[in-house]
Amino acid sequence: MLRFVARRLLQMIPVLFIIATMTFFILRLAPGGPFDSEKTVTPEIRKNLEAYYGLNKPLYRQYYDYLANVIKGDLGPSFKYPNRTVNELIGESFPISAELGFWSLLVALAVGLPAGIISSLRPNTAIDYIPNSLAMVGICVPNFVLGPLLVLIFALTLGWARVSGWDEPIDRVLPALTLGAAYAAYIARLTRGGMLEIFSQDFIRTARAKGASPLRIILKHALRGGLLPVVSYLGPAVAGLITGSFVVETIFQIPGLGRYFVNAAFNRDYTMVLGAVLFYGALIVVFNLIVDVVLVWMNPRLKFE
Amino acid sequence: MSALLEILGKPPSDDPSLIEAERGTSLWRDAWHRLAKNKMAVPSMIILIAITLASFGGPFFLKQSYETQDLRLGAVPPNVRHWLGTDTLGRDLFVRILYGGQISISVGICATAVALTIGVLYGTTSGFLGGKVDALMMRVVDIIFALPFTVFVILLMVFFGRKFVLLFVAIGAVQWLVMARIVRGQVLSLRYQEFIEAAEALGLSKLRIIFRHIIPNTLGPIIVYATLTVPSVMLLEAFLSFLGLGVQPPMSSWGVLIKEGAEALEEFPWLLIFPGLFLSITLFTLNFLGDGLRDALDPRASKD
Amino acid sequence: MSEENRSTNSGETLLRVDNLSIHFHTRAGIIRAVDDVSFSINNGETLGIVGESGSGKSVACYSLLRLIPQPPGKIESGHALFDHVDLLRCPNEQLRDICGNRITMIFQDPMTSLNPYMRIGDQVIEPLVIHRRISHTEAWQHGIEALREVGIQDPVSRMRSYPHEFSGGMRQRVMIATSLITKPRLLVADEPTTALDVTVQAQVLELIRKMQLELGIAVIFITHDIGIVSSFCDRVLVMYAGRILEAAPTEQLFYQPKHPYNRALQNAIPALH
Repeated sequence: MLRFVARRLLQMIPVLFIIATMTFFILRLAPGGPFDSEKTVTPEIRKNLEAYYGLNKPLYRQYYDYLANVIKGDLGPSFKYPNRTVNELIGESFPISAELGFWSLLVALAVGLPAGIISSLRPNTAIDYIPNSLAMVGICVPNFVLGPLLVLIFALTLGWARVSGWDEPIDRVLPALTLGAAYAAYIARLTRGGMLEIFSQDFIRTARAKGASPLRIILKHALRGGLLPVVSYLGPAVAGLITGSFVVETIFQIPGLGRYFVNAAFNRDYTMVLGAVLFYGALIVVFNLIVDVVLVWMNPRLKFE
Repeated sequence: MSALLEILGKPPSDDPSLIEAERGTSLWRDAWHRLAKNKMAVPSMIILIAITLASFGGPFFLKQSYETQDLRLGAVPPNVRHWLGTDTLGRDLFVRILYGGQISISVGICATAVALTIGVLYGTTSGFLGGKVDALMMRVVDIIFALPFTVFVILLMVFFGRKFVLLFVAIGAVQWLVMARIVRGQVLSLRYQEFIEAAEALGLSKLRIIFRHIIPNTLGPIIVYATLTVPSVMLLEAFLSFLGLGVQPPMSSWGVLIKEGAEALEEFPWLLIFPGLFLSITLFTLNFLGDGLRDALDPRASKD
Repeated sequence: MSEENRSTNSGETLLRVDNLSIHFHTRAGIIRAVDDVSFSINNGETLGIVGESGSGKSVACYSLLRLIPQPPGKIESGHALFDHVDLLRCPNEQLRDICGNRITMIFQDPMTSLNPYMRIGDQVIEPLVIHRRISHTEAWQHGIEALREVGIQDPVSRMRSYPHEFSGGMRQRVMIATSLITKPRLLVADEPTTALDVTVQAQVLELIRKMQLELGIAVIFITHDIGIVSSFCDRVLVMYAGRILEAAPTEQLFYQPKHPYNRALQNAIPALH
C-alpha cells in the first residue's frame, strides 16, 4: 500500500506542474497588467513595483524563477498586499475555509445518508419521492439563491442569526446549511442509487433466505457495497467543500480562501491567484488519493495496483 | 421443441394472455411507455415546455419591453400591472425574467451542444480505436479532470474579457469530459459485440460502422446525459453571471437577475425570489426529466 | 427460537404444498408462473423437480420462503404447511425464524449468491448468529468445522477469505456449509451444479448426498438435468408451464413414463440410448 501512495504522490507532481504552467501563462498573457486598476500609481512607482515583483524580466525568466520558488515552498509576495506573502495569506484564510467545509460536510452527511437509505427502501413510493424531491431541490436551488434566501428568512425576518460575519458560533449555521445543501442532495441520490443497485443483487436474496431481518440486511449486507459511490464522490466533494465555495464566502463575508481567490482574480494579484490554484490542485489530488485508499479498504475485490 | 409441441398439442392453459404475451415492442416505444408512467418526469416535461414557450414567445404578448424604465416608480412588489413587481429602475420584472430565460436557456442548449459534439466525437474515437490510442486519450481526460476547471474558467473569464462567445467555450470545455467518458464506455461495450464483427467482416469502412452502427446504439445514454448536462451548464452560467463574469448588461440572464436581487435583498426580496424560482424550477424539471429518461432507456432498471 | 432441530421419524410428511398458484402481473399481461401445484415431501426424502426453463420449478420453491418480489409477483392461492405453519401466510417474524434455520436454500450461481464485501466466515456463521444465542467466537468455531466438513482445505485461514478468492466449486461448498450449519430439516437446492464445471458437478453432488445422509435431512432438488435426478432422487416431479405433469418415484418415471412429455425428455438424452 505504501508503494501505491508513494506512486500517487509522485503522479501529483506532473499534474501540479501543468496547473502551475497553465495558470502562469493565462495570467501573464492576458491583456492588462496587475497595476492597471490602481489609479494612484505614478510611472516611477510602477517601475519600482515591477522591479520588486520581477515583472521587468523576460517571461521565461519569470517562469523559471517562479517554479524555482514554488519548489522551495515559497509562493511569493502578494501583489495586492506587498508586505504579506501568499503563504501567509493562505495560511490565514485556509483554516477558516476548512472549518466551513467541515460543518458543511457534517450537514451533508447527516442529511444525505439517511435520506438516501430511506428512499432506497421503497422505491417509487412516497417514501422515495419525498426525500428524492427534497434532494433535488437541494441540487437545483443554487447556493447563491439559497444563501440569500436563508438570510432573508432566518436573519432578516426571524432574527435568529446575523446577516454575515464569522465571529460567533451561530455564524456557522447558515453558511454550513447553504454550502452543505447541494452536497447533501448529491449524497442522498448517490446513496439511493448505490443501495438500490445492491438490493437487486442475488446475495441479498441469500441473506433473506437465511432469515436475516431487514435491519440486518441493510446494515450488514447492503451498506458496505451501497456506500461505495458516495465514497468515490467524497474525494472531489471534500476538496470543493474545504476550499470553500467562492460564492458562500462572498455572501456571508467569510474571510476564507475562496473569497481571497476571487478577489485576487479580480485584482490581478498574480501570485495569490497562482498560489491558491496550486494549493487547490494539491488538495484535490490528496483527497482523491485518500478516497482511493478508503475504496480499496471497503471493496475487497480491489487491490492496490 | 416443435416436436414436443406436436406431441403435446395445445399448451395446457387456455388463457389468451399467456399465448400472446410476447408482442414485441421496439426499444423506443418501450422507453416512451416507461417515461410516460414516470410521475415526476411527465409534469416536469410539461412545465419545461411551458417555461421555454413563455420565455421565447411571451414577450410578444406583453406590452412592456424590458428596457422600459420608470424611474419614478422604482422597485415595487407584485401587483396587477406588474405581475412580479419591478426592479430598482422601474423595469417590469416578469418581462426581464422572460428575456433572461431566453439567454439562460439558449446558453444551456448551445453550450451543451458544443460539449456534446466534442464529447461524442472524442469518446467514440477513443473507444473505437482502443489500445494505446484509447489509453492515451483517456489519460488526457483524466489529467484535465484533475485540474480545478471551474477555477480556470473563472480565470479565463476574468482575464480575457467577458465576451459572450468565450462563455460558450469555457463552459463547453468543462462539460465535454464527462460526456466523452460515458460515450467511450458505451462504445467499448458495443465494440466487440458480434454484430460489429459481422459488419467488419462484410467490409464496411470504419467510419460507416461508427456512424451507422455504433453511434445509434449509444444514443440512449447520450440523450440522458445531454439532458442532464443542460442544467449543469445553466448553473455554471448563472454562477459566472452572479460573480459578474458571465453575461454582461444590457443582456441579462437569470444569473444576472439573481445577482441584482441579492444586492437588493433587504429591501426588495422579490427581486431575488422570482428569478431564483424560475432558475430553480427549470433545473428541477430538467433533472427529473433526465432521471426519467435514464430510467426509461436503461433496460436494467426494472422497477415494475 | 434457539432449539436445536429434533430428528424426526422418517416417512412423516415434512412439507405439504396444496394448490399453489403464483401469478406475475406485468405490462404484457398476467403470467401464470405456477398454476395449481400440489406436492409433498417426507422426512429424509429427496424430491427432484425437473423442468425446462420457464416451467415454474424455481418460482414455486422460492415462493415457499417468500423470496419472490411481490409486486410483480403474487401468491394467488395455496398453502404450504411446514410444522403446522403455513409458510405462505404466516407473519414475517415467524417465517424469518424458519428460514435459514429449519428450511435452508442454496442457489444456482455461487458467484453472485455470496456477498463480495463480507468475509466467508461471517457469511457461513450468519445463520447461527441469527438463530442461535451463541457468542461470535463459538459460532466462528462451528464455522471452521462446517468448512472442514464440506471438504475445504485449511479452513481456519479460509474463513477470513473473501468470495472472489474462491473457485466456483469451493464457493458452492461454502453455500452448502452455510445452509447446513443449523442442521435444518429441509434443504432446497436450486440447480446447485448448473453453473459449475462438469468435473466439479459430480463432487458437489456427492457432497450434498453425503451431508444429507449424515444429517437425515430432506432435500428438494431443482434441476433441468434428468441425469442428476435419476441417480439422486427418490421421487420426481415433472413441471411444464407452471403445472405438474407427472409425479412418481424415480424408477417408475424412468421405466414407465406416462406423460408423452416425459417420454420425449428421455428420448432426448443421448446417454440412455
